[in-house]
Amino acid sequence: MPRTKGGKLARFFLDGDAAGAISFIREQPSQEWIYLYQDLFTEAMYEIGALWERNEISVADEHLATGVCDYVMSRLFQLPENKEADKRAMFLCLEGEQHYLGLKMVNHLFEERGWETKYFGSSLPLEYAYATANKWQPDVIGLSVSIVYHLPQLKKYVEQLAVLPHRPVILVGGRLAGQYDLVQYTSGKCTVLNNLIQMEYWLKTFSDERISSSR
Amino acid sequence: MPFICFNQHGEITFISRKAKHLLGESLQVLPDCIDSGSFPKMQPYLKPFQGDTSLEVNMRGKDKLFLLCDVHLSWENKIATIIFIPKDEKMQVLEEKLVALKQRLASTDFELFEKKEALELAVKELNALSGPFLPISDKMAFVPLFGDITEEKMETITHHVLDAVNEGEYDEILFDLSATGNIEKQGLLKLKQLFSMIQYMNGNQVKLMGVKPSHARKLNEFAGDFNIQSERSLKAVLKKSRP
Ligand code: B12
Repeated sequence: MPRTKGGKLARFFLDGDAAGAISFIREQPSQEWIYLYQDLFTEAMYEIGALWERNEISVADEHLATGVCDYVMSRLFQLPENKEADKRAMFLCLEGEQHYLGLKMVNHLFEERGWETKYFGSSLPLEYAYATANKWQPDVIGLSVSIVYHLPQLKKYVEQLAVLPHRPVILVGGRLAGQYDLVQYTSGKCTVLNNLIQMEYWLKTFSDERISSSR
Repeated sequence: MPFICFNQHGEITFISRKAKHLLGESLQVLPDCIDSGSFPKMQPYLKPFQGDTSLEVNMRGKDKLFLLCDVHLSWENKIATIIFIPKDEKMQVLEEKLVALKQRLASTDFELFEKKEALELAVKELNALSGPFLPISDKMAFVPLFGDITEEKMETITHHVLDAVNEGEYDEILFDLSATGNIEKQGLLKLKQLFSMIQYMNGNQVKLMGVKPSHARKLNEFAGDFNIQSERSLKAVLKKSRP
């Protein structure tokens, strides 16, 4: 029997039990999304990675768990009609990258904090990303990367997007964020955030700067 | 059978023909052919042990970065043998289909969202067209309303009618209900508000025409105190103003 909450949630995901997962989440004392995402959903998916490394499950199980996790997130996360947003962010995974769950969480949290967002999920080619960003002019572009082989791509994405005429802020996150010095790797053109707590802190600083610069 | 052999230092000592075909020729050490994410999983078995083990591992293929395989590993005389069988192609195909499906779902979702935005804009434009402001002379303007009287539509119309009234110096503004269908209560209340705003602006009551019996009933029901002058037709009004 799994002991941590993340471990329990992972069990529901692996059993394909979406209803069980939903009621388990609803029972949690805190219903704050940032907490649910960081301590439950993320932990559950990491636990699934650990189970695979312990040879207890296969990649096929991971697929099922991913599907259930995504479904549960979409079912539970509902926003009241959007108020007028004055900040824009777009989110995407690098071309070829299918690990989008973390990005989806980040997108939700930005929306929850009143941002207007465009969420592209997995694998968005750079040309599309560039064209959309040029047209829609988001204040922030969030990239997610999990697979080591995609790092050279990351460099290209950051370098091109950072020099868009309207100079958006480029945020980078994902599994690799904590493992490599991505700031140096991208010549300091992006901000790297290792987890949702850092993201929250960054957001707060961003809004504070906005407020003080608009005074 | 595709298989490779390696020693306790992780140096590869033999590559079978089939293995060369899948992984390439020039392998020297294990990290050359095992994905970094799978290495920790292999770690416990890289030193001699009794018996054998089976694991799911990502090998690094010659032309595929991730070659998901069932791996069987055993040691004999300080040499390990790894037999690896790439996972059923069928499963790969299934996986790819799943990914494609998910992507489609995501993009349809997004497309739907953009369509919805476009549609909302179109409705707004349509609403504006359903109550055009038509100046007849410097002093007189005519606003025929089309379709149902809904709150949303009246809001859009209010916007451009007030702009136009503000810019001109119209004494007489006529609204025509001949081409309207259903009258909703909220829509009518908005319309009433518009009429009083116009009256504040130019000091004159709005004139209403084309009021059908069904409209009259609704006017009474929803807004009994509807204070307007009604006229039979545009022709009659024009006749009166230009004797
Ligand atoms: C679940 C899973 C999958 C799911 C996909 C899940 C998804 N849609 O996201 C499926 C089954 C589809 C999958 C597929 C594959 N996977 Co996989 N997968 C995993 C697993 C087990 C968990 C990943 C996960 O969901 N984490 C949870 C999320 C929430 O965490 P996160 O991404 O880090 O995000 C958090 C933060 O980083 C941050 N964040 C993320 N993005 C951003 C962006 C911004 C802007 C900010 C501010 C923050 C931020 O917010 C999140 C919130 O906590 C990992 C194991 C591991 N240790 O990570 C392997 C793993 C990543 N997968 C791996 C592999 C190899 C594959 C496959 C090749 C299949 C295979 N043969 O094994 C394919 C490749 C697909 C592709 N081309 O991308 C390897 C990668 C190895 C490597 N060399 O890089 C790993 C490490 C497993 C392993 N040990 O080998 N995988």
